[in-house]
Amino acid sequence: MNVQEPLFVVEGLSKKINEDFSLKEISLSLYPGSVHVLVGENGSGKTKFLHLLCGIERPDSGSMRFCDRLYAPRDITDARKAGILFIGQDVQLFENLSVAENLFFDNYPRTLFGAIDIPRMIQQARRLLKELSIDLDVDIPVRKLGYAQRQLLAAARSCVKPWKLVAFDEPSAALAEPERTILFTIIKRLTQQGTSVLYVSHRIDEICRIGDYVSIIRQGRLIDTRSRETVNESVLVHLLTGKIFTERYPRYKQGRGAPLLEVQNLSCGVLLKNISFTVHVGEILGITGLMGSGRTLLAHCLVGDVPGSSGRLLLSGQEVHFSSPEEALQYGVALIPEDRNENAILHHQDLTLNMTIAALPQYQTVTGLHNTTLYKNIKKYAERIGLRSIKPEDIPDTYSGGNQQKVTLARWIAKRARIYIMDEPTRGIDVSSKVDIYNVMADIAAKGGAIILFSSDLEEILGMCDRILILTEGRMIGPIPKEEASQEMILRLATSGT
Amino acid sequence: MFAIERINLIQKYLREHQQVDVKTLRELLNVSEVTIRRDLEKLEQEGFLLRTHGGAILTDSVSLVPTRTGSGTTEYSEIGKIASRLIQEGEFILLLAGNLTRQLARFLFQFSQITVLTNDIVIAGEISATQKNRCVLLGGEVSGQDQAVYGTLTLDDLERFHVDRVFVEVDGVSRDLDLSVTTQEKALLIRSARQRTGELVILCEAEGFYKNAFFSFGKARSGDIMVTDRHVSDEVKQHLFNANIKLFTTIDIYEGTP
Repeated sequence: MNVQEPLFVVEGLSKKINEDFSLKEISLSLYPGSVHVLVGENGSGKTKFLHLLCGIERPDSGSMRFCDRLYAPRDITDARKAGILFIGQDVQLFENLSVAENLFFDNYPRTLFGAIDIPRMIQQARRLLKELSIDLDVDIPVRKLGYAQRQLLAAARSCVKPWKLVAFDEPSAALAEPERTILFTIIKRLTQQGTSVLYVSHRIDEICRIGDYVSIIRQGRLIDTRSRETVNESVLVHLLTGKIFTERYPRYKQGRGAPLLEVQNLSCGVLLKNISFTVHVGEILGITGLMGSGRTLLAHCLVGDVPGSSGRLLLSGQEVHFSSPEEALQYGVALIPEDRNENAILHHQDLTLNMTIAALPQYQTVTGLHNTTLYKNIKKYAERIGLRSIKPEDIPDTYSGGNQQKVTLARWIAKRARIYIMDEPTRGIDVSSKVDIYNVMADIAAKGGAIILFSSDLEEILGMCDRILILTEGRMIGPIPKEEASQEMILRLATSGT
Repeated sequence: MFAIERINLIQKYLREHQQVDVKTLRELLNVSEVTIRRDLEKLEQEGFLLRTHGGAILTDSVSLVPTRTGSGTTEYSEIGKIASRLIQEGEFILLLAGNLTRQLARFLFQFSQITVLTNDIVIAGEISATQKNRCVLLGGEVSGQDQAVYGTLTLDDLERFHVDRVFVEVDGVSRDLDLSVTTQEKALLIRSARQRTGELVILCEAEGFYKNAFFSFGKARSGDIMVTDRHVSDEVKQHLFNANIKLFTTIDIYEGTP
């Protein structure tokens, strides 16, 4: 191991990002002249960690020591003054300034009189780019550069003045092999000067190529730090995907019933092509896919919310056609949309209306609504679904995401819908509400309802669903029975494309 | 037929049979299932019966299992009801003595081919009374306190069996998920039973969380299942979820289609 004194020491850094996610007690040491790679999946907290280091955001607790002094940057300028350069994913360059001007922006060579020494700047810029074998004309403005060229230029800025620490946030994400090689030359040059490099990536091959140390970050926690000699690709893959928690999802073991909703050859625009699947009585069918794979569109197509979709829908063997979500609801098919605050909660209306709007006719009598039964039922549903300390006259706009979702669910349960199409039902809600919502889902399935769960949370998909469908570029792969599915398999299929 | 007549008939039938399914009632009363469900719902609210999937059971008196009096009665049996959903036809299960497992035993009439192994005399009586499932009673010294058998004999006897699932009732779950009960022989028996099964189902009232009883029998582990009532605190739900423990609460809300 390294006998040098560390340059930068992070101890117990924590930061709450939102209800669902926080960085938890990250500790890390960076050594001068070495490359430390931080790997983790999307959304594991890598970038957030860099933001704390560079003063873009401040930690809730924990401390950082830099060059043996306490370091608590208030903003990115503080970080730069201390000698830390951050190169983000979307590089910040001045569009109308030339390549040379961008390179030297806060560090212009000056003449004796204090003016910018343009000829010297251009000369130095040319020399630097040549040394780094970057083929760029230093006089042209940055707006004429392509994405990869900008990325390289941003990286080259780190060589202009001696930084103590340079942090790269996924610099190679959009680079082809030749540019990647240049990037690695730059990094090599930095370490030779004694600069410490922190490099965030999710590419495993890069670690073995440039890293001296590698830290694995998963769900906001630093799982492990190792030196390069002690890792290889297979160890890394294992550490990265890790053990996923699928046992904590409450689901009763039950057999699959008769087909309930059959979708045949559903197409919509260019995004969805010939989608066919069947959901059975008592089943939770999972549909997952990457961003932009058409998940949300499909969910809306199923309840007739998207004009211009084609295909056949069979409900218990009978062909049906939904021209609107209201019509779908008459057949017992309810949509719980992704953005509950935008699309499900009735704003400025009280809880009573929000919860019973769909089922109001049930309370109709000759003299108007039967209010006693109505309030009794609201109380019953609220108590059963775990909405605590609420009053019928509350305005749910002010509820937490979890409670809003419970109100939406209770509304369709009160309407006695049978098929629940849920689009990201637990995204961004607190963990205890998640547990309640999973229990409601298990209850629906146990009593002969059915759920189509659209989700990007693979743990949730693997934990709650009986069968899993993967949507990729508008096509459907699967269904895969839960017993055969794994996180790796779904990720591979979802990214396979055509 | 008027609602009141139907209700009287349902009550009469239940007093005689302790349990009923919707199909039988439909034939008996000659009304739609929706109507029957509504009647059963009403009777459940009055505390006369408990609805189950596809039927109902009588809440009190005739059953050998005493129901607890006081405020928590419904919750208490609801934990048993939810736990019964974890069982599948044809399975071998072990029910260790406890008030919650006794409640669970009352819901086993929905099955006809399960084998119940138990050290609880009341549970054995309950199951033999319904004449539906097989019951094997473990041997041992009868404890006067809770009508169940414990001790070396019971532990030895247990060695002969292997079961799909073990249901235990715990009195305390500490903050570091240490599980505890009030007597030593109970703790010993649970410890031994835990080694003989693939799945441990822990029944616990919401008040039992973050408390300790005197005798601990180990920690809840990832993969264990817990069943408690829906009034359990948010903190507990979050805690168990993060510990990868399946938590079922008595959320029993879906009522099917009209």
